[in-house]
Amino acid sequence: MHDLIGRGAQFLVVTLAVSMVIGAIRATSLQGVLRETLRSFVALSGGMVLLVIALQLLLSVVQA
Amino acid sequence: MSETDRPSALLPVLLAWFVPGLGHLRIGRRWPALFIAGSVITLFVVGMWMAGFHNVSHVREPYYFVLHAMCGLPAIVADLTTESVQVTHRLPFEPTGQLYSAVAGLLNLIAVSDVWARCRRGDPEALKERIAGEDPYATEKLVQGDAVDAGARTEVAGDA
Repeated sequence: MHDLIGRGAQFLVVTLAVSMVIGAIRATSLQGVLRETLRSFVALSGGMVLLVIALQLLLSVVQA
Repeated sequence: MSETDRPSALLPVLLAWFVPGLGHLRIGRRWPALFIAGSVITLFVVGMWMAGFHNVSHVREPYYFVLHAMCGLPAIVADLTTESVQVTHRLPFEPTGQLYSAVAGLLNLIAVSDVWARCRRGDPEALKERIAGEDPYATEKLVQGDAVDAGARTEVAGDA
């Protein structure tokens, strides 16, 4: 469990950094940069979570 | 905007490489500069911390240093200050830290490209507003990721 939290935190740090850069290159004003950052963060982390769930399901099907 | 009205991209691009965020600051984009500096430098330092502050070195890690060097001054400072460090043991999160610092370098490369694009093509928000004001179908084009082409078409139509 501790390891999972650690890995989750590592994932969030790098996702946030990537989202901030995406927000910065897509907009100029503070509102625009924040909006794009949030949008990218949700999209990136949501996509990764869905990918992990899909892989886990696939693994469980293969193992069964 | 004609070719002669555009500011030179050389100095902002060099500044953007040398210090993350400085290129955007040079062209008057304060918030993007702050976000890029915050994310790139933080990720770079967190990566170094996870790797025990000895991962950025052109001698010990020459291949990774190519990516680290994209961060400019932080990588040079880290390389010089950790030159005499002797690596006695490997930390458990060292590969992750190494990747973090490398990703920070690649993110700064994207920021450098953005500075160049802003100097050559103009501000992305202003471009969106201009397209939305002049072209009723601009929103669909923006959704399709066709903003730059649409802007170029509008510019050509305006010139004509």
